Amino acid sequence: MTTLETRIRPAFDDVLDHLSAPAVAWEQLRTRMQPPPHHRRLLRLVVSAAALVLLGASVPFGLEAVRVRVEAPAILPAPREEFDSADLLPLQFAH
Amino acid sequence: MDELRLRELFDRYYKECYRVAYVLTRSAADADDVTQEAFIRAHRYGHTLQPGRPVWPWLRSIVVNTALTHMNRGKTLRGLLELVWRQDGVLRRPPVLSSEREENWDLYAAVQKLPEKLRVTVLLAYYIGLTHEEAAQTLQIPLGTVKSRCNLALHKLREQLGPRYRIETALVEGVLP
Repeated sequence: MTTLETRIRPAFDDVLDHLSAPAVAWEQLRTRMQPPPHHRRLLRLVVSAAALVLLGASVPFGLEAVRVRVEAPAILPAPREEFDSADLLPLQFAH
Repeated sequence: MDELRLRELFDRYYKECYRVAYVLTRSAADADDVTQEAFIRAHRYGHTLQPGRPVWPWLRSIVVNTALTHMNRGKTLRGLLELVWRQDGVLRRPPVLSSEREENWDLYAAVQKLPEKLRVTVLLAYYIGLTHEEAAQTLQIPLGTVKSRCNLALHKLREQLGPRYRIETALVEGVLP
C-alpha cells in the first residue's frame, strides 16, 4: 500500500509540470556574476567618500550638543517649605 | 568552478533547482531570485564539492539553504501580505482534470496550506528528499522535532483530504483491521 508521504513527491511532480522556468535565466545569471563596470565602482567610491565626509562633518556638531548638555546648569526643584501642622486647622470664617 | 562547468550544471539542474525553490518560496519571482543566487553560490563555493561525490545533493543543499535564508529575510512582510492575499505564484489549476490528477492538485494545495513550520519540514522530507537527519540539520532543530512535525503534518493532511486518506489513517493507527 502506498502511503500519503510517498504520494507527495509524484503529486508535486505532476503539478509542477505546469510550472515553466524562466527562459532567460542563464543570461541574467551571467550578468549578475559579472563584476560591476568601472564607472559604477567609481560612483560607489564617490558616494562612500561623500557619506564619510558628511559623517565626519557631523561629529563636531554632535560633540558640541553633548558639551552644551553637560554644562547646562541643572534646574533643581525649589525646596519644599517646612510643614506646619497649623495649616491643617479648620479655617475660621467671620460671621 | 569555471564558467563552462557552471553552465553544464545550470543546463542539467536548473529546472530541478527552480522547482525546489518554488515549492519552498511559493513565488515565481522569489524562486527565480533564489535559483540564481544558489548558482552564484555554487560558482563561488565550487571547491567544496568533493571529486567523485554526486553533484545533486550538494547543489540541492545550496538551493534549500538559499531559499530558507531568503524566506527568513522577508518573513514579516511576507506574513503580512499572506494575511490579505495568499496565492500560489504562477500555478493555476486546469479547469478539467482526471480524478487522479485532481487528487494530485488537492494534495499539493493541502501541503502548501499547512502551517509554515510543518509545510517546510514536510517539503524537505517528502518532496525534496532529505532524510529526517538532514532535515533536522538543515533547519537546525532536533531530530525528534522533525519527526513530530512530519507526523502532525501527515495527520492534518489525512484529516483534510477526505475519506480515502482517513481510511489510511485508521489503518496506520490500527483502528481498522
